[in-house]
Amino acid sequence: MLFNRINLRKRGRRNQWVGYLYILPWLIGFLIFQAGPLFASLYFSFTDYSIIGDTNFVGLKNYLTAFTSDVNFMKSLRATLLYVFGAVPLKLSLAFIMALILNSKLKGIRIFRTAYYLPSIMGASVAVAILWRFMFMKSGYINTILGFLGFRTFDWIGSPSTALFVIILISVWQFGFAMVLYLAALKDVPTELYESASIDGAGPFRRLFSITLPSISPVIFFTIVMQLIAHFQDFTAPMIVTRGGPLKTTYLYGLLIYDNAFKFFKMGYASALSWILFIIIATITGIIFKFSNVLVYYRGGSNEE
Amino acid sequence: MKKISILMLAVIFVVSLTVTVFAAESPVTLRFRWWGGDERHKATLAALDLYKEKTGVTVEAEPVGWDGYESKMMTELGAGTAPDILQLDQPWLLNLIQKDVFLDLTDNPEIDFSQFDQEFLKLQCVREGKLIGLPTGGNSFRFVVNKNFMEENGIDLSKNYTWDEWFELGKKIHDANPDNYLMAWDPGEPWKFFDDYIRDKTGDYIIGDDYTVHASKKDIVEALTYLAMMYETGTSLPVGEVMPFTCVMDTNPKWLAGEIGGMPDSASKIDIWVAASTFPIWTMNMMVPTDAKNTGAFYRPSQLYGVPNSSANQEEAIKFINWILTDKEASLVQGTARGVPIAESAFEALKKAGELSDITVDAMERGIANQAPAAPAVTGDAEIGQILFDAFENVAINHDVTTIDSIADELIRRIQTRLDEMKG
Repeated sequence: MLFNRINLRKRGRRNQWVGYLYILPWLIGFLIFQAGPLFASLYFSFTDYSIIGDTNFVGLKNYLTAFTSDVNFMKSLRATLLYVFGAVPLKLSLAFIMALILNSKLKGIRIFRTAYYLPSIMGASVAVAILWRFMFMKSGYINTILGFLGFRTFDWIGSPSTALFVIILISVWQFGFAMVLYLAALKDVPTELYESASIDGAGPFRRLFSITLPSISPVIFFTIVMQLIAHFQDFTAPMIVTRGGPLKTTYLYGLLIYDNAFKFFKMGYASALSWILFIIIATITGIIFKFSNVLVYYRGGSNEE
Repeated sequence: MKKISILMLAVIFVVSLTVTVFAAESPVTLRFRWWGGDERHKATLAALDLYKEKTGVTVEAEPVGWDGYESKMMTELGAGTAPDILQLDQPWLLNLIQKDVFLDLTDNPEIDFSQFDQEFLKLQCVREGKLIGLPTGGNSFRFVVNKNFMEENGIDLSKNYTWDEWFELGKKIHDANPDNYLMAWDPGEPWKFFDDYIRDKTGDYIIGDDYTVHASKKDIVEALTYLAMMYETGTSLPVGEVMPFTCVMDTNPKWLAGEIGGMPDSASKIDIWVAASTFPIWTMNMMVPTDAKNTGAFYRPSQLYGVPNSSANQEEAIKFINWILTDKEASLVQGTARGVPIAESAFEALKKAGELSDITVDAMERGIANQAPAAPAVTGDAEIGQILFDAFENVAINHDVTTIDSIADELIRRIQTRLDEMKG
């Protein structure tokens, strides 16, 4: 009896090792290409690494420089925060409204759903960004149409007051992905809830705020968190459309890191900037998670009365 | 039994693979990377074929675009995997020499130094006593014009206009027709306006190789004020309309429609303007401040060729550089793909064969005759370029003269901080 038990334990341990062997290729890849560079960048953020030449340990100098003497850091942070907290609510609100509208069972509704989803597939590409640049410049299509309709024209991407709006618009235009998630979530809401609510005399807005929103709140929560994290790191649009200008109004954080890393070759400083961004994103995500206890309703969870 | 045979098979497999890889012996092959357009790629490839014919050495070509060239090069230099010969831009020289990653070509026996002007090499290519790149061609900064536009508006192409005169003309032209602009300034190298303004006004550049700011605040404020006037008077196309066409203004619809008089650009790019435009192109000297101490425009090497320390074929690489820069046949095959050749023999060969277009010869000869003093090496620093650009953009977009004082203060402060950083 004892003999069998010892055998089983031995086999268990061997099975464990076989498991590790099976994931070894992925593990090696992860360590070399993800974990390794991650910790390397943390190390470099405390040095003045610049690809070639000596690397000296400088302690917290890079972090202090960002907050004290780099004039572009504050400008970039401001532009990024404006962008993130402008684009994400707009985008998700639009996605939600469209999901409500497209949740009907009309014939051909699928075509609309596909059409609105398309931008989010190709939207983040360089080609589309170049297209937007030409559309929104002073002599571009948008102004041609506005002029034709009798409205005033603006130099959308050449003017500091409107350039960020164009960048936000590119992001908002790609609401399709969130919309599709909301559509799926809407279909999951039990119809009995709506029926009993209307029997009790609840109007459409009451139903929306008391049934729909709470029911799909987990999905909304998910999209908020994922979109926030993604938008903090957006790079392609500002890089191609406005190159950070005019007057750094669209100089998003990704561009700041890129310029410091690949234009000025200050890799150490760029690494520090990346970790500052990480801390910012982690903090904001943490705050949202804290609020989720109050705002998110999980069916079948501890909220059930 | 099964395990042993599998193991044996694996060993045989690995061994044979290794043997095959190492057995592939090849003769000397050089890797050569440069940036440019299709014309330059074609011309250079033809030269490489010629070299193979004459010496049997294969040169593997890596023709690429300008975008991303520098960062790729720096990464490879850090890893030691850079090509044997690299095309370099003059602003990079100081940084590369300080990092000690290229061979010092001074007094190298494989190079025919008699073909190169020693003064030019000393002022434009040598930094901190080291020479890491040989100049390909010379480039001068000219004002490229739409000949028809200028004739219609009575501009004299042989005159050296002062900025005051120029803005008066610009205002008149723009007031008469709001679609027309006497000029446009490409933000690709925007600091040139007030950097050159200060050089022309005072005879010295805004910063020096002693890592200090040479220009006085008064001069900087004056330069920035003139910059604001350039936009305020309607002389120049607003910066917002030029930005989508940075470095490709030859595709700008307003230029193609003949609504812009001219643009500053390097003489080496004249052929691009000629090819793009339906109207005749010519060049004139750049405008200067009133009572200018210097009226010359910058004249600098178009590019340089260098050999990294990491190259396994250093001698062959240097021989190749010498050939491609000084050999008569090489010069004929390449033409003016990299500007007008600096090396005597190459230049003479092209001139004799009539390969230099009238406009290019005129531009170059007037450019060489009208040279400004060589720019300090520190001007090449990317961060300083960014600082100057920020000040330029601020003035160009708002052209509010009341803010110029504080912009000048910030400019001086930021440049000095960066210079201190570079010195340390």
